[in-house]
Amino acid sequence: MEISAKGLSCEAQNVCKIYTTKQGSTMALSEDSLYVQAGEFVSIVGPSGCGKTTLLNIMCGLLPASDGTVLIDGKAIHGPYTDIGYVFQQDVLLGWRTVFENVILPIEIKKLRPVEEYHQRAKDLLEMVGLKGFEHKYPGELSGGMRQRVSICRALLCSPPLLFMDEPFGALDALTREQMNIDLLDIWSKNQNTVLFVTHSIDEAVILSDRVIIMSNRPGKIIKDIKIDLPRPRTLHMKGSDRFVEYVTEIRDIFNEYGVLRDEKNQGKV
Amino acid sequence: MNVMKVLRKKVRDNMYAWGLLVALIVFWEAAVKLMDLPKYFLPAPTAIAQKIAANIPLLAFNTWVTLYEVLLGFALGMLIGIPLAILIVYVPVLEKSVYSILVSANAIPKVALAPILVVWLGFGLAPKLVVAFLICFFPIVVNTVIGMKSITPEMIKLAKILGATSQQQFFKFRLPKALPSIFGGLKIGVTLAVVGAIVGEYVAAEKGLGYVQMIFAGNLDTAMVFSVLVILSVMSVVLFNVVAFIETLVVKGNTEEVSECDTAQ
Ligand SMILES: Nc1ncnc2c1ncn2[C@@H]1O[C@H](COP(=O)(O)OP(=O)(O)OP(=O)(O)O)[C@@H](O)[C@H]1O
Ligand SMILES: [Mg+2]
Repeated sequence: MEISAKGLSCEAQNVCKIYTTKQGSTMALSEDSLYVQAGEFVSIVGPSGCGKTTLLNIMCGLLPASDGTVLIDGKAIHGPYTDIGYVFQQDVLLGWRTVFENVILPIEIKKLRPVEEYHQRAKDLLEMVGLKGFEHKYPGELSGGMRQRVSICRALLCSPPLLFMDEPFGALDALTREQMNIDLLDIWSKNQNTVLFVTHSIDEAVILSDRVIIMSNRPGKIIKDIKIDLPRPRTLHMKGSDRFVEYVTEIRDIFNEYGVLRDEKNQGKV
Repeated sequence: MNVMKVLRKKVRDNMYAWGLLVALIVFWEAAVKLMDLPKYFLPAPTAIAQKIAANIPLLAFNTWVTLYEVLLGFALGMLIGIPLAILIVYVPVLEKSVYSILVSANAIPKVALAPILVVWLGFGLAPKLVVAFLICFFPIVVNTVIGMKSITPEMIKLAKILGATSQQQFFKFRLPKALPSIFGGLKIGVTLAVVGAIVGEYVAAEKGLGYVQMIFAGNLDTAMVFSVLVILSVMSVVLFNVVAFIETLVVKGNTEEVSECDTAQ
């Protein structure tokens, strides 16, 4: 088993997305460009419905862009790019498979060998996310947060060079979430893969990322790209540091400026 | 140990139902005896039991005849219904043409076709088999189509990003997702196949449980008519449970949505 090919770069050039339904068409993304370096950890934050999931789907080829190009490792892609781990916003576990069987689904589909090593890795990953002993349960018997952790293990199984995560920790309690943040950083530093991470939590984005991308309300537009200059390896203690607080405040202010967040002055009017 | 647990749970769950059933039979027996009803009007349960015991060879032979028709009709319903449903899901033109017609045709009372089938196919096995087939075919097709379409857009995305071939998409995603619904159709279908076979026998036959019922009803041997009814009921229940048992072997986990629906209703 090849542990970790190094990360690949991933780039969207002027992508647009217009969804057309019977009710009419929705402009979900307008002219967005984003370059993610090989091995970089980039977070995307933005209000609900601004097109974060859409952007992720376009950047891995799951969704065709209405306009623009996507390049992975410098080459344009025209269909789903399969050498990727994708943690979907909903956990998308298969109800007829046990937790363990769900985690090893990728190697079954891709026919990867040797099976035993991947099985061992699946067990290790499950243990890491605190699901040891649940291997033979069915997803229907798990809580939402547990299911989400299973889907994270599935995405990590093949140590993919690209890792897309769409609000992966949304269903977790604050403590488990912080632990998962640490574990994710650990895996990332070992694998040196490229991570594109969507979150609603500004704190989480800052503590994890090299860069935080801020998107505006629909139609989704990248309005700021902030480099996070905190030292690596990151620890949770940094959340108390002045630099961290400055970054978080800066991002809040940007949302404020674009009318996504409203502070006290405006609240009285509602 | 697990089997014992399941059995004990089954017995416990069904205790009240069995109790009620026994009570009803006792009441029936008592009512017939006390009111002194004529035997051709309503035979007592004990009289029915004696009748069955006295006619085992006759009943066994005709049970086999009917069962054969049912099983063949049902097998045909599965062998044609499931592949057709899969085609319907994969070929949009078929869905717009064949499936729309099928759904409307489902409104035809299939048993009313039996006399016509006799004209076309004669008095043998064929018309019974065809009625049994027709009547179980519809729920099998409809439920399989519903099941095959129940795959979510998210699951399709997962399949695609894992690089699943269309064959893998079918066997690892669509089909397992559809299985609970397919079995739902099969369970309805198998009991309907029994109805179909009997109606076929009512219309024209020289053997089979339906035929036996018609003959003895004509002789006012009501106990015998009831005997056949008991056998038919047992046949239906057993067939249903065989399919349900196979379902428990084949369908894994996945009960979460089903049971949620059950409790919601
Ligand atoms: N399949 C679709 N068909 C039509 N419109 C869609 C579809 N998917 C998304 N949209 C629209 O595109 C916009 C962006 O959706 P998207 O799911 O990318 O948002 P998001 O930023 O991921 O939101 P959230 O944070 O709530 O997950 C939304 O306004 C939504 O209405
Ligand atoms: Mg989303």
